[in-house]
Amino acid sequence: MIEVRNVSKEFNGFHALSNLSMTIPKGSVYGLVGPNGAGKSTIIRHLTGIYQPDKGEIFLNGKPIFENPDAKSRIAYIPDDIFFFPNATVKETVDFYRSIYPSFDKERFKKLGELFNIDTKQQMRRLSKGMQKQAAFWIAISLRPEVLILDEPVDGLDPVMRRQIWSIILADVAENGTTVLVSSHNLRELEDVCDHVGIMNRGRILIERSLSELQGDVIKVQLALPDGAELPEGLNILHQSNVGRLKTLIIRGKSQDISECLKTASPFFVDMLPLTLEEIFIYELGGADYEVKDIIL
Amino acid sequence: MKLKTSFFNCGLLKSNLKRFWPLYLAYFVVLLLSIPMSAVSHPGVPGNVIVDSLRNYLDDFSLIVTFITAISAAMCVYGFMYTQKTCGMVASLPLKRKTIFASSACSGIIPILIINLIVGLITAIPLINHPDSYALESLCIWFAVTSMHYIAFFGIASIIAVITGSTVALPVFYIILNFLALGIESAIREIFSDFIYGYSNAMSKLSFEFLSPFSNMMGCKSLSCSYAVGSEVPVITGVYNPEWRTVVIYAAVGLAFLVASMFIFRKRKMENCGDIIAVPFLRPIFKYCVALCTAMANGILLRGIFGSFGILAIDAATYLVYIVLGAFIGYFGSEMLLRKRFTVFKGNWLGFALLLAFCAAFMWCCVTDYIGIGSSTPELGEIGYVEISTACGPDLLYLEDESSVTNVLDMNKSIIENKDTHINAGLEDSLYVSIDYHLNSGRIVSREYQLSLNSHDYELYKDILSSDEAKQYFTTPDVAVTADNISYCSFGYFNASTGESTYIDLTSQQAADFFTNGYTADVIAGNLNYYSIPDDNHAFVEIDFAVDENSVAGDTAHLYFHCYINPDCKYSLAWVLDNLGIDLIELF
Repeated sequence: MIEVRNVSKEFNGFHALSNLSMTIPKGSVYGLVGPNGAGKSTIIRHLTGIYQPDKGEIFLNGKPIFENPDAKSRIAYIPDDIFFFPNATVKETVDFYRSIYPSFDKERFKKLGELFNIDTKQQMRRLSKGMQKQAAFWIAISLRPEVLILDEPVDGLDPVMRRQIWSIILADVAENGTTVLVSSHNLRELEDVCDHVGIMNRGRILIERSLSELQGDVIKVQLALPDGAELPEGLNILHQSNVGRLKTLIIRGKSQDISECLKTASPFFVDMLPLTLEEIFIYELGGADYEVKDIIL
Repeated sequence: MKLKTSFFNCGLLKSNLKRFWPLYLAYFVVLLLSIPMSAVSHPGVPGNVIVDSLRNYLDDFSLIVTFITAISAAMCVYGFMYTQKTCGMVASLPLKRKTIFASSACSGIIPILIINLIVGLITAIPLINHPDSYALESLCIWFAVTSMHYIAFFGIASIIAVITGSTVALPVFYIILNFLALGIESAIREIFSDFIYGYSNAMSKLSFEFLSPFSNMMGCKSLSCSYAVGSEVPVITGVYNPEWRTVVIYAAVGLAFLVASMFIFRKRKMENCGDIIAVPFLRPIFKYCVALCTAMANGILLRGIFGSFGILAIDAATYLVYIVLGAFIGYFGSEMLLRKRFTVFKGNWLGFALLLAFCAAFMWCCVTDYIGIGSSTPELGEIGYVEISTACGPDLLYLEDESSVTNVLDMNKSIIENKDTHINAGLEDSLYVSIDYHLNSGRIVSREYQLSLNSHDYELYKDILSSDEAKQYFTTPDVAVTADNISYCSFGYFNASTGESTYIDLTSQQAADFFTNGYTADVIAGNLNYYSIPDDNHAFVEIDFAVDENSVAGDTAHLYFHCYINPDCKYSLAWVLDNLGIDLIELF
């Protein structure tokens, strides 16, 4: 389990993280989402031991991560901008990681070579962005990490490779209890793989819950009311839009309670739909002053 | 799996060796060509040739090669600190920071030491058939000195590497810091010499040169040899390093810097990579140091361009303006570098105001000589000997007798008391006089004045130059003046009425004869003096001596001086008339 307790970080007067706390359960696939500049990459760099927090602590299985080789050896990190030494070939990069990480699995690396069709004699910098990502995944998965931290992981990968990589990662999660932290703007994809979500904004975690709980807490309702009928009181409406008589409401609450309440308005038509992660993101952050603005040009 | 905590990581070391092998190869090739290949290409006894090659390398190349190699190696092995990509990569590795640093530092040091050893062994190959203990000893001295030089410079480069976050700033700071103390002290002394009455920068040995390692080590002889006397072929009788203490101290400091670098690196914030100064508390120090250095440099530069206005108050005011301009450029320029933007003027004026106040206070102290630098003279007991300039003839008169030194001190103090008289005398009515007190501590205190020819102090000066010790000095130079030693002597005279100059070369015999029977006789009689400036109607004699010392090693000492004959020099005039047939009395 990864625990982040009251972490704050400042860069030249700018508060990148403000008393941030989060918990990533063991064996979960945790999606960290947030608008640009929320601090996702910053907290990830703390989790990988690159940055030291100004305040607060970060633990892996109860042990601090910063300056702890034992904890860091259990973590594999794939950043959005892949790390490698200039002029290093794929093989040299692999050899380097193999010499540093005791858990490197040579057999696994060999087997995965059939999937990642990359010439190991090529220099990393000469590979395309997508191929660099593939090489990074190849190495990271071969490290057999307990924790896999991915920052914009599938950005640049083709759909087939994306699916294959996720399939390998999820297999690891299922078989070995690998914990995965994913930061991405591709919420459609995250929805398919994550079981926990943390929504971040302005250096803080706004919401942190399992995906099923999150989806259970906010409902999309489409309904049509009789002429002159008003929406009943007591509904926590996050968003409302009208197309003719058809109203689309985003309501926070339990579906049963919402349904009971709406019945009082005797609607012609009611349909209750679960929200997508993208919709949850938009409407939750709307409450945090980051809503979609309708701009008329 | 629990990792063992280790101080060193082989993976990181191997990676660095694989990536930076061109640097190590280049260093190896330079050493190979400079020492063993150079030795092989010169004929002679293998032992002597090896010693000569080592000595030539240490004297001519070693320091600069080591200086450049150290900074190049530092840029390579610490280069991961300067881009976000590699910084993140290395910082996320399951290694303690001290391990990362130690592994990087070792990959910068160990290969160089190994190369030194390999080149030493290659150089020693000819000694298998021609054993020579002195050559072996020279090799050991060479290996030790070269390696210690490298550790010193690499240590300096390492501490700069962890302080800065920019790969461009690293070599720039490295070069600057190796000469900074020298530069600052020279600049301050230059300002003192412009504004403090009597203060001279000419002969002063810099007190803080030891803080500029490259400059200080340049003057150190690393390998000296003693030779058998009287042998036609050079026979080495001993080899030694006369400056080993200096090298050892710098190497120790280099090691200390390495250790300090490790501690700084452990605390360093990786988010500061790319910043000019990556250690926050050093940023204001950097800013003010740059501002002060720029202020001084600008003052000296603009004064050099525009010159002096001849009035102290105006000179001081203009100098202050130059300094303020330089301080402005340095202060806000460094702020722009630190903040990486041009808009830095808002809210930044208090620091600049403090800086200006400091500059103004410094100038005031110089102009008023508040600390009393110019008005002080050394104590008699501190002085080893004194060198005082002459109006003509040998550049400096050497005096070490207590009475002579006391006379010089008295004259100096009197000049200071009567400084207004000397300042107000025009150039035509004054004489330039310099005094260098060589103290027993090794320090040199230098003074220079324009001495009024109408003052009592000029009489004191004449007495000093006419003293028995002065006469002894003028007539018994360090180099023996004999017909065999003299390589050149020219006699010349100028006719003011015709405007013609005539030069006659004397033979060595003639020159030696003139020195004894003309020049020396007149000096002892007090006819020929060294305190008069000749007027337009004068005759002069130039004598140039060259002598061979240690002929086996081929070192040569030179003595050169010229003197002016005046109408009172009866012995010299008689000699010229008798030997050259020229009646100089008519000329006068």
